[in-house]
Amino acid sequence: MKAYPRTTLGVALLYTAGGLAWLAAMGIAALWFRTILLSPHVNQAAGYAIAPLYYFLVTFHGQAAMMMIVEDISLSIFAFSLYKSNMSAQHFKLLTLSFFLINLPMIVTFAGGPTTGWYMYPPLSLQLGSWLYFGSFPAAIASKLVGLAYFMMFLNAIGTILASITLFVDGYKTRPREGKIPVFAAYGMAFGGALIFITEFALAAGELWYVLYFWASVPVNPLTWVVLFWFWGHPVVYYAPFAVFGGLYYYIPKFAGRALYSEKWARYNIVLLFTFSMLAWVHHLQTWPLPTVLRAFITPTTLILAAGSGLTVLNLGLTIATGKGYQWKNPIGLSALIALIGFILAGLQALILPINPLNVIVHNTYYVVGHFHLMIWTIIVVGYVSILLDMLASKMNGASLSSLGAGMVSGGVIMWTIGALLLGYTMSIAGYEGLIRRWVAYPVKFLSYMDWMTMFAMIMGASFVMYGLPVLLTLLGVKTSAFWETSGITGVSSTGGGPGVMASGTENRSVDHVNKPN
Amino acid sequence: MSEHRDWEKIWFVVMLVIVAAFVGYSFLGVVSGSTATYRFGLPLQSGVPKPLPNGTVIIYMEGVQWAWVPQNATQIIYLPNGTELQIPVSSNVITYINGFPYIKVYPNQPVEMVLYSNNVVHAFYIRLPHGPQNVNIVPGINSYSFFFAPSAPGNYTFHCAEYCGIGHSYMYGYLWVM
Repeated sequence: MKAYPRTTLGVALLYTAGGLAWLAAMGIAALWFRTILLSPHVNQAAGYAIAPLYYFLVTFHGQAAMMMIVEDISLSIFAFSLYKSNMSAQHFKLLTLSFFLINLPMIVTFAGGPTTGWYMYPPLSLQLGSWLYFGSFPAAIASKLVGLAYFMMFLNAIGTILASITLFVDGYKTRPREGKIPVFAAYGMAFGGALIFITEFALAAGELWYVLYFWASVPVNPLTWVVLFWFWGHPVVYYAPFAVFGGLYYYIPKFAGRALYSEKWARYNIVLLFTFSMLAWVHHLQTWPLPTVLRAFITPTTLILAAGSGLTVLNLGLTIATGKGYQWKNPIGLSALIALIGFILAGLQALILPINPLNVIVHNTYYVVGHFHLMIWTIIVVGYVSILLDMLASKMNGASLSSLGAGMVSGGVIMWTIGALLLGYTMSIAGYEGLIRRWVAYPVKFLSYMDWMTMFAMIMGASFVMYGLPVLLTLLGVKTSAFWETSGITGVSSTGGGPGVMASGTENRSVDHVNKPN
Repeated sequence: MSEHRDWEKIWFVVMLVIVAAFVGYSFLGVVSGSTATYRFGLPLQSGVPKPLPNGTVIIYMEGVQWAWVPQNATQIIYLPNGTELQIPVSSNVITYINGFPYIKVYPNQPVEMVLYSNNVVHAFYIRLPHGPQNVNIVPGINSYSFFFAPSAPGNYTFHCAEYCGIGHSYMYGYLWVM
């Protein structure tokens, strides 16, 4: 992996590295605040003492995820989808600059100690007291520093816009001269490209508005800001999973031993998912004082979006069901399959959310937290693992996973998913029972829920190390011989019938290094 | 190829039916008044019964960082000729124990909360045996929550459900059904 890549694969690996680095940091934050939550803090003095740290960790956890990890891995998948489709990135300087714009500026933001929550609603986020460190300076200096923190977030958004436009333009320029863009790259173009650069502007605008508040005393209207924010805040949750959909459309047919059941519908679905992901944004605000008609509008738009997601499930499910026996023993095939199943199970939790009479029961509770985390842990993380393994195989010039590597990845992913399902559903049950999110202190009746959540989170932490180790060491080029082999087959092989095709080490995009089914 | 077409049509019809059913259910909830967020809450008192039922206690509740401050309470009484009276009842209804506010009501009494914030966004959340109330409060905009007190005496906790700063989880009070 190079810090200034000059190949499409190198771009994909660089963004992967950024995403994984922040993923590790935010995971540690999560385990840290999980330990804090082992106490219900019925004693207010103790609760107020630990609350600043807790809310900083929660904010860091969310912002690292939503503003960097999601973008990094979506762009990484996008770049890799170009690589797999005989298309390529071209503006490597710009893509490298964008990468550092996405991943570095917010270090300054975090150094300021934000406790705003990742969606940083005003006016809470305009209070200097919401910043543990920057807010401790005299007001005149503090306001400049907090403005700087938001400016750094603005730069992060600009980096994301720049990267997505650049890759989109490069992809368009290098599209096949004949025939259509392959489905994998088409999903990359739509969701790692266009969806990002259209909606990310809303975040950039919201952040710039905050900067101007602190640096130029421009007033902020809370309701307008929140509606603007969610025009990014909702679509952002689709950047990664819909890009992963493209990967699943590519890998699942290969491991099912047949062509995709309906490529036509996979393509139609791009239009549906793209459009309705932006029309559903206000469904986060159903308990807010917004016009009734607007809140009614998002019920059908969200459900139509869900139908589009269901269409993906049907298409891929039929591909598997009518295939020649799915190769689930291959770690890539297994991860793709688990991602699909996990997406169904996490999607079930969401069905009640756009329904107005039911949303009120669970809005702002752990029910929602359980739902979106389960989505992240399955379709995003496990789905991404399937794509990443192929990416790493390409990096390793078409090598296949050794039995140790395959065992660690498969075992880790299975253990991870078990922990995720237990944790996601426990969270949702607790939320349905009335556990509100972002409570550092909570009624004692939820203590046993918290204990179990922490237990399940530890299972996930351990399994992350298990499947993350081969990935990380391969990225760093350390001890790769333990996890990869370039000839012969031992244990579970990625190549099926023989050794992987040896690529030239540069841009050999025309072969499927590791995915040939038996 | 024909196998594709069939499944796609089936999917389209099934999804259409499911979407229509869910949207219909949601719509019926709105028009029948069973949907708390539409019927009994949110902006401009949308759906709050007009006129308010006889005996409704109206609580004017401010959200601050980090406490609920019930500032005033009145009770709606209708004279035989239909004239509406708003009787001040703050001293009977609002009390504090250990620093937390208690709103005293009788079983099944209609309650209207007029909710506002002097600083940041809060949300009024209370789980009652017959359903929850969950209403966001944006500074500068009044929100409303209308419900009937539970029939069983006891204390029912109301919380802040929207993160409002480090004291968020200690922002609660009680509906005391006498």
